[in-house]
Amino acid sequence: MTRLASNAVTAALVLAIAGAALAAPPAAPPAPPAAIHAAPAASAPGARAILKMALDAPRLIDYEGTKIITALRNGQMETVTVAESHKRPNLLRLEYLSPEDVAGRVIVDDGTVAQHYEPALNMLFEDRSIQDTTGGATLTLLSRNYEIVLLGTDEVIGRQAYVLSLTPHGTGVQRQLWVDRLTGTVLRSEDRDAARGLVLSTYFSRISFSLNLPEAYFRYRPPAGARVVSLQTVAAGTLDPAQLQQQVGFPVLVPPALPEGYTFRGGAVSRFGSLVSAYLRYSDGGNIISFFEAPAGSIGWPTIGLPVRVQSQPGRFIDLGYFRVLIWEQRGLRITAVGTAPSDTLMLVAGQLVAGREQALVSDVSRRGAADPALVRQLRSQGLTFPEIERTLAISRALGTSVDTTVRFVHGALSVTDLAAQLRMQPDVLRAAIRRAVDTASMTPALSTSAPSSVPAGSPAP
Amino acid sequence: MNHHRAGRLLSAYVDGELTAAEAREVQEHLLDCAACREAHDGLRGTRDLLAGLPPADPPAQFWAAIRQPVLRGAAAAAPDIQPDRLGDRVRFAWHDLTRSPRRWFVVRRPGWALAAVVLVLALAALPLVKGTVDRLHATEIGVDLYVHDHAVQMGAAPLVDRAYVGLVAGDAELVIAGENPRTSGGSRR
Amino acid sequence: MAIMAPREAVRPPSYTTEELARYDGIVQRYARHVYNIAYRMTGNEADARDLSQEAFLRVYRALRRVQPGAPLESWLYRIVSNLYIDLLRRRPRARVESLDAPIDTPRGEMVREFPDAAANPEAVFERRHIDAAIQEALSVLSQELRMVVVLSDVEGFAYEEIAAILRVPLGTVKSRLHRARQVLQMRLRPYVDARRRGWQP
Repeated sequence: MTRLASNAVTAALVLAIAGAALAAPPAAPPAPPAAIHAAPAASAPGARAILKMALDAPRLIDYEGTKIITALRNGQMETVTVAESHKRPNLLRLEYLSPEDVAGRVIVDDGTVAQHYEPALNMLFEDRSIQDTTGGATLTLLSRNYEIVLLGTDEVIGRQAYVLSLTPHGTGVQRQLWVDRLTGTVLRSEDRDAARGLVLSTYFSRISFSLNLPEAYFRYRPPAGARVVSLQTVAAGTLDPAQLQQQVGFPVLVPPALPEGYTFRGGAVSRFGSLVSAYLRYSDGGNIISFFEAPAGSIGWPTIGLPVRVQSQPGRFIDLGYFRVLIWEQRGLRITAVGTAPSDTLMLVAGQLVAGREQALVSDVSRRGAADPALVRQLRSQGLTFPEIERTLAISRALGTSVDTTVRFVHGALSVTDLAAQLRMQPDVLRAAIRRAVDTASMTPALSTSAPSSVPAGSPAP
Repeated sequence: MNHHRAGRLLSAYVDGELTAAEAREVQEHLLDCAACREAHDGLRGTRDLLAGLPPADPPAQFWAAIRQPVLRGAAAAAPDIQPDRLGDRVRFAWHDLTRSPRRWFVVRRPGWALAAVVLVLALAALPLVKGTVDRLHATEIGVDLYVHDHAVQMGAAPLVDRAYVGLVAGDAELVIAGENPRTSGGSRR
Repeated sequence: MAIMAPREAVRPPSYTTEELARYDGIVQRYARHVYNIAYRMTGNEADARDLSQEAFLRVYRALRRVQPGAPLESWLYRIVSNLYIDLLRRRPRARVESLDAPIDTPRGEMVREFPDAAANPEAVFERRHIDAAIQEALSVLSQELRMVVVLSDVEGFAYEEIAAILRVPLGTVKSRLHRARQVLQMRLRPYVDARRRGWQP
């Protein structure tokens, strides 16, 4: 590969991603509803503090309430009522009340295992917990990748709530949260999508706090004769793509580039019957894109969805409402991407994978980052995208940090404050140094993929 | 893997019937060999074409003929049953049968038939009574399985509503276990 | 109709209502599939009817030996397969050499080439035409290959199940299926290509 050609490859990659970001209608910051009072300038805590309060609330607060969910499902808005109870730190009970075809469903989750009981079938499903187990990295990623704004205060069922808006620097769902002033509990939430407007809204129509709910309420004993089905399809723990490949026995492909801010959050084997899929998760702190890879022959095309072409490869696009699914085939693999990202973003990511310019990009990035191609390959096998690798190399070179530490920083496992403490630097000084390193690196255009005001992932939030 | 051996394994590869090691070797060969890729696509196209054959509809005489022993035998075994009432019962059953061309136990993808059998055995041991293989249709389950896995992992994004995630994951579980999906909010299939 | 045992010769065992209900259940569950396989094997309605009726007559006779609730797929399809072989034996066709038999040449085995099945280019898009072409292509296969491909691709069984039904080794299933698909692919090329160009029936 000549120098010119490999430059062209990277340029194409960069332009494609940048193009997608530009093509997406900018997610306008939501206008505060009329009822929201502008935030008092001095007395109110900052947006970040309120967000932290919301993230910490489940560990500190018990509640029991009735929640109304309205979500886009198969092209229509569906309204579901659920009785939701929570006991700290991580006991959750959901009892669905309406509509009729979901009434009586109970989900009990202890943070490790979720039990789902379906009364009409007298069946009990045992599944992995649906609760957060990742802890600290989330706030770091959220504050890097989202513009977090305190819009003001509002009243929800007679309680005072802070209204936060979280707008991704890249493409994706814009979220608004009503955070209870006293407890930090999210009383109301709205998810908006650039293309379709409101896709998910939830609110408590009634809520009580600090009840002493008995622990037994969060254990489910199914009626006699219930059939128990274990659906723990995804193995616990996380593997990097190289380890995954060893387990599944077929090549595991890593996306070359993703929407701004999405970073590798672990892989696992998904097993169902004889269908073995490699599962890679990428998160920007607020949302997830999942990639499932399986040998092409092991799974059929779905009967639903829109036939599409991904770089001339056959594919299917399925819009399930809140989630979108893109399925395509390349080189004997069937790849399925699931996420809330816009459809053109999914198509673009898929197109980059199909293009399969792995070797060219490895040599290009290693040359421009003055790094051993073996190192670039190794970082790829840890799930890093090419822009992330370029960023890692640039920061590591500028600050003299080890590659491992830098990768942890880029992944969001280390915040600026953490790294500053390690380097005995002032966070502000470090922040400026990182920004300089990233800005002066040759790949700068690759990073500024979204609106000019955005902060590249990997560089700190103000 | 040499070209000749890969060529012979292509059909089984298309069906997902190779061992993981064999599949990997074939896959690697496919990356290098345009002729085998062409052959692979052709074989898969042929398989899919055949899989698209609609089931042949049995003629009325067929149903009448295989009913015959039932009617006669029933009359002989239980002479106190009114023949016409029995006829009604049987006709009712046939009516259902001939009207709804349901696929009873067919899985269109051979690789999946095996998966389904494995699963049914696993489920039977659990015990899941309603384990008919027909519902474990790979083409329908693939998406539901992945949406399920994705929804469960959404817990890693802490600001996503858990009650909503539980709803989506729960719906997918029903389909994966071979039950009918919920119908409200639009029908998916 | 004539090749099978005359109906009159059947002396139905006296079954209880419960046993009859069981037969009923078996018919409901399997009849369509038995018929479909028989139809794809024989290629015509009359033979398919004879074969599948005869198969159910055997089920009926053996009802007491069938364990309630036991899966009958293998057993039933083996009956169909054996009945079909019987049928061929009793009614030899003019065609002796099967078209899928490889031709021995000095350079090793060769598979025959076939001309395009569809002269009319639009025909590749018509369901009716496609079905007829597939059935026609199936009929040129030898009985062994046809059975494997019908069980695998039309009815969707896994290799292991097919091996159990036909009582042949797994390797035999693999190689027969591969040969069958090669032949079918050649005969059905226009249809396969039409599908690959993105058109779905």
